[in-house]
Amino acid sequence: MHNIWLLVSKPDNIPIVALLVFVIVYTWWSFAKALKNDRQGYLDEEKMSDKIQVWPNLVRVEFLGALFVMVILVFWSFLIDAPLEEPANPTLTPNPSKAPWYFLGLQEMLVYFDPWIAGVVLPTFIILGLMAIPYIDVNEKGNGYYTYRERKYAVLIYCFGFLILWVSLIVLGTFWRGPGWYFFFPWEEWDTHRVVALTNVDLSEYFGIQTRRADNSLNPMAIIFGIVIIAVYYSLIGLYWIKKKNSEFVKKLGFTKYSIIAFLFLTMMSLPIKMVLRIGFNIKYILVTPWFNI
Amino acid sequence: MSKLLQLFSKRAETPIETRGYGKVYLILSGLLFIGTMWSLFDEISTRRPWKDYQDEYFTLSEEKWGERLKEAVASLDSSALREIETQLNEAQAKLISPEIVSIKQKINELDEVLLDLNREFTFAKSRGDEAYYFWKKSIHEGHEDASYKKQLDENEAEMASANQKIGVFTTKHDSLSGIVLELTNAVKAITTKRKELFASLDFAKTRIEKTKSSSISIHQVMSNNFDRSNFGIPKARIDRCQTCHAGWKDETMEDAQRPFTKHPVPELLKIHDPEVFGCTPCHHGQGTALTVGLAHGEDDHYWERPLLKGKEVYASCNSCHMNQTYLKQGDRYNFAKRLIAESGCFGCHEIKGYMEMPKIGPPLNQLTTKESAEWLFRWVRNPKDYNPHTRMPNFKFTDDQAEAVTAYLWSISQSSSYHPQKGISGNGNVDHGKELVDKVGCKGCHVVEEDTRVRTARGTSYDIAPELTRVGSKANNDWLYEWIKNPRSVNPEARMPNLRLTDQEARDIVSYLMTLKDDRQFEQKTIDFSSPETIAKGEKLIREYGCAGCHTIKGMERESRVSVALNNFGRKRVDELDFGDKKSSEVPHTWDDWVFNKIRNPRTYTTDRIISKMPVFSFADSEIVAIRTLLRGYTKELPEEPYQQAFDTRLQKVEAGRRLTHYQYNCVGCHQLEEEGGYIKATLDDEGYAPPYLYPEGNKVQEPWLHDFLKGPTTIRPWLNIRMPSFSLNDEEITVVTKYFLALHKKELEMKDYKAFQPSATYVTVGKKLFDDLQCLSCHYTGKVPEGKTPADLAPNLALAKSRLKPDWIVDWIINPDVIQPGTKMPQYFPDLKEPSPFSEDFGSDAKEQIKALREYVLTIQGSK
Repeated sequence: MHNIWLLVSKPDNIPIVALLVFVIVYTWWSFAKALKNDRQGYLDEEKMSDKIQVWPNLVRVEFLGALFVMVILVFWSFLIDAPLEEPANPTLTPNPSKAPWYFLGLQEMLVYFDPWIAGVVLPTFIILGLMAIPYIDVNEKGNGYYTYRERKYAVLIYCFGFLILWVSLIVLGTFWRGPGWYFFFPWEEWDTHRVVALTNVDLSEYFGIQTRRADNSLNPMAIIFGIVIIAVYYSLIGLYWIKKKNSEFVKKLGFTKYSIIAFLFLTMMSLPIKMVLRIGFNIKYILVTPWFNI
Repeated sequence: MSKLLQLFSKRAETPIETRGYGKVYLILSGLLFIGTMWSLFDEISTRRPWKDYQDEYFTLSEEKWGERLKEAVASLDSSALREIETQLNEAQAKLISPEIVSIKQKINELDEVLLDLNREFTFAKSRGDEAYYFWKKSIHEGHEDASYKKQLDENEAEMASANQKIGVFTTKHDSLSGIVLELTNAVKAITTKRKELFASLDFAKTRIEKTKSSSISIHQVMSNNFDRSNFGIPKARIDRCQTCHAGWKDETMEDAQRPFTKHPVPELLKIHDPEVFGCTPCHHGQGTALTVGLAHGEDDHYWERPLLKGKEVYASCNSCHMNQTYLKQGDRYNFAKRLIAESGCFGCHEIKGYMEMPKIGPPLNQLTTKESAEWLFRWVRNPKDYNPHTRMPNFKFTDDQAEAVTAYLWSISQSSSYHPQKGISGNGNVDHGKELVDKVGCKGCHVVEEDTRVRTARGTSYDIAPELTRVGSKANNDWLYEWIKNPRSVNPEARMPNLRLTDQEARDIVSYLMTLKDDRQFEQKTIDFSSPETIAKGEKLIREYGCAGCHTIKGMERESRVSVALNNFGRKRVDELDFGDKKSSEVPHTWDDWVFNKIRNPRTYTTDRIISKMPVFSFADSEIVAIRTLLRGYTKELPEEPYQQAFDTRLQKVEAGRRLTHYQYNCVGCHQLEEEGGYIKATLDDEGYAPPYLYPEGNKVQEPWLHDFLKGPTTIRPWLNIRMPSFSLNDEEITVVTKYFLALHKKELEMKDYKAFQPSATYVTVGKKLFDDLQCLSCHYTGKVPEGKTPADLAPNLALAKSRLKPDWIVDWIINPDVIQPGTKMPQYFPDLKEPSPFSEDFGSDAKEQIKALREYVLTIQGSK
C-alpha cells in the first residue's frame, strides 16, 4: 500500500488520478444521457421549447464555473508544491524515465512495436485518422445530442480507441510500469535491480523459420513469411468488402471511404493483437526487415 | 442527504432565468477570499520562517547588549568619575572666573580694533593701487603726473603705520588668547578622559540603537563563478545561511543558543572569510534555501551534498587542499591524511596527492638471509599473529596459498647477491644491550617489550617500525648485526638510519635482541620450494593481490595498482555500492555505513560470485571514522581557480619536506616539527633529554652547516643519551629538508657566505661586557659541559654559534626567545626594545644595539677545553 500511496501522491501523478475520475464520470454521464434519449425515443432537449439568452444566463454560470476552478487552483497551489527533483546530471539517467502523461500511451506502444512504427507511423495515422473523420463519416444521424443506438459503430470504435487504447495505456504507464519499464503491481515496491528473463522470438520461428542465419544476415524466408502474414491481415479489407458488398452500410460508403475506414480500423486493432501476441506468446516481431520491423 | 437531493431537484425545476445564483456566488467568492488571504499570510509569514529567526536574533542581541550596558554601568569607576568631574568643574570654573572674563572682553575689544586697523590698511592699499595706476598711466601717456605719486607714497606710509599698529595689537591679542586657549584645552583634555570612562557604556548604547533600527532582510553572499554545474557551465555560489545564523560574527553570541551561536575558530575564518567565500564550500548544504530542512538537506533528499555535521566538516578541506598532507587546525583531516600515508592505501588505490609516495613496505628480494621459511610462511598467512601492531594487513590466505607465496619469494631470493658475514656477532653483553636500546633512540620508532609509551603518544593503532618483542625468533644474529651497524649496506633504500654504534655496542644490542623470543609452539610445516607449480601459483597470487603496491619485488617493479581509484569516491551513490548479501538491518543502506563496515572488515561484502581481495586492516573505530571523513572529501568537484588555494612553490616545498620528515624517515618520532611530533618524549623523565624542537631551524641555522650535519651528525648537546642517527641522505634529500625548513618561514634558499659577516671591534667589546654581566655561562658553555647541572638547565655550546647560527636569528632569539621556542628556559632580557636597556648605558642605552653587540661577541667565541 505504501507504494500505491507514493504513486498517487506524487505531485506529477495527482492530475492523472483526477483525469481518471473525470473520464469515468463524464463517460458514465454521457452514456446515461444517450441511453435515456434512446429509451425515450425523443430527445430530452426537445421538451424544452424555449431558448434562453446567453447573457446573462449562460455567462453567469460560466463565471461561477471559472470562480470555482480558481478556488480549487488557489487551494491546490499552496497545499501541494511543484516537485523539484535532483540536479540534472548528464551521466545519470533517471530510472524509470517516463514520458509526459499524454504520451504514456505511445511509450507503452514501444514495448510492442519498433520505434519507427510506434513513434512515427502510428501517431501519424492517429492524427490523419482523426482529421479524416469528417470526410469518411456518412452517418447523418446523431448530430448534437447523445445517442448510442443511432451511432453504434462510431461510438464503440471511438470509445475503444480512446478509453481502452489511449486512457488505459496512460493509467498502465503511470501505475503499472516501474524501473526498466518492467511490469510492477501498484503495491509492489519499485526495485531498480530487478532482472526479468527476456525470451521473445519472432513469429516466423514458431513456424520453424529462423529470422537470422548463422552469419547474422536476415533470412529471406522469414521476410517473405512476414510479408505474407501482413498481406493476409490487410486482405481482410477486400474479403469483408466482397462479403458485405451488398449491404446498405457498405454501399453508402463507397469503396474508397470503406477501405480507408477498414485500413484504419485494422491498424488500430493491430495494437491489442500485438499485445496479446507479446504477453501471451512471447512473440516479438511479425516482420523483420533491415529498415523497419512490424 | 435526501434533503440535499430535494434541494437540487427543486432547483432543477425552476426556470433557468429565475434561478438565484446569489448563494453560490457568495460561497465561492468567500472561499476565494479566504484562499487569497491564507496564501498572502502563507507567503509573508508561514513560508518565511527566517523572519522569525531574525526577529528572535534582534531581541536576543538587544538583551545581551542591555546586559553589557548594565555591566558597564556597574563597573563604572565612580570615584574616578567624581575626581574627573571635580577636575572638570574646576577647569570650567577657571574659564568663567572674573579675570578670564575681563581678558575675554579685552580680546573682543582688541578684535574690533584689529578689524578697524585692517580695514584702514586695506583701504589705504586700495587707494594706493589706484594712485599707482593713474601715475603709471600718466607716464605711459607721456606726461607724468607727480600728484599721483605723492598720493601713492602717502597711502604707503598709511599702510606702514597701520601695519605697525596691527603688529602691536596682535601680539597683545595673541598673548591674551593664549591664556584662554590653555584653559580651554585643559577642559577638552578632561572631557576626553571622561568620555573614555564611558567608552564601553556608550558603545553598548550605540549597539542597542543599531539593533533597534535593524530591518529584517535576507543576507546573502554571492561568489561568482565558484563552481560548475553538471554540464560544465560556471555558476555562482549563493549562500543565505547568515539570514538565520545571524549571530555568526557577533561577539556577544559566543554562548547563545543555536542558531545564533558565534562561529568558533576565528583564526580559520580570517583565512576563509565567509563574506567572500560563503558558508557552503566548507559546510555543504543548500545555500540558497531559507528553511532549515531544505538548507541542511534533511527535507530535500535530492540535494546531493547535505550539511556536514560536527567533525565531518573536515571532509570539505580536501576540495582545495588535496595536495597537502597537513593543515593548521586540520584536526581530523590531518589524522586521516596521516593514516592513509602511513598505512599505504595508495599502494593498491590511486589517490590524488599520494601518487609519488614511496612504497611503505620493505623489499622482498633477499629474504633468505634474514629469516626462516617457516616464519615467513606464518607471517604471510597472518601478519598480525606475529606482530599485532604491524601495518601490514591480513590477506586471509589459506595454508596452500601462503605456502605458494613463500615458495615464490624464496625462489627470487636465491639470486640476491647479499650475504651477511658469518660469526661476527658473538659475545655481547645482554644487559648493556638492553640499556642501549632503552636510551640511545631505538624507541623513537620501535616498540620493545612492554614499553608502549611512544605508541600511545603517536595515537595510532599501528607502529611505524616493527615491534622488536619477538625479533629473536625471526631474525638471525649475523643479519641483525650488519643491519643495525649500517642498514644501507643490507638494503640500499632502507629508511632505518644507523646510530654510529661501535662494534661492541652492536654486539651487545644483538645479544639482547636475540633473547626476545616468541614462546608459542607452532606446528611443523615444511615448505615445498622445489615444485614449479607452487612457485608459479605463488607468483600469480602475488600479482593478483597486488603485493608490489607496498613491496619492491624482483620482476614486478612495473605492476600497476591492483584496485580502484578513489579520487571520486565521495560521489558514489548508494545504488552504486554493493552491499553483498548483507540485510539492511545488519548494514543500513547508506554510504556512511557501507564505508565504515568495509574498512572495518573489507571481506564483509563477499558473496558466492563476488570475491573481495582487499586485506583486513585492524584500524580502531576512531581511525575508521577519520578515514571515512576524508574519503567523503574525495570528489572531483573543485572550486574554480580564484577560490582555490594555489599550490605554489612554497607549499610544494613544504609538502615535499613533510613527506620526507613525517612519513619517510620518521623524523617526527623524535623531533617536534610544526604542531606534531616528538613522540619519544614520552619515554623521557626530564624534558632536557628530549631532541630539540625543529620548527625554528629554517630561520636559525646556516644552510652549509645543516648540510654537513645531516651528512654526518655532530654532538651539540653532549648530555643527551639519544643520538641523532645518520640517515645517509643524499644531496637532493638534504636540499628538500633545507627548503622545507626555510619555506615554513616563507623564505627561499639563498646563496650566502656566512663567513663574510665580520663583527666590529666596538660591538664585540660591549658584547663581552654584557655577556659577563648577564652570566650567559651559567647555562651555556663554551668548552667543557659544566658538572652538577640537570639537563633541563643546560644550553648549547656557544662556540658552535659562529659556524652554526644565522647572525640575524641570534638577534631575534635574544629579543624574544619564547615566541621562537615556546617554553624555553632562556630568559627574555630585553622585554621592551623601546625602553632603555637596564643593563648598561652603551650605545645610549639602546637595547637593540646592545643585543647586536652580544651577537657580535658570541660570533667570536672559540671553543675551549
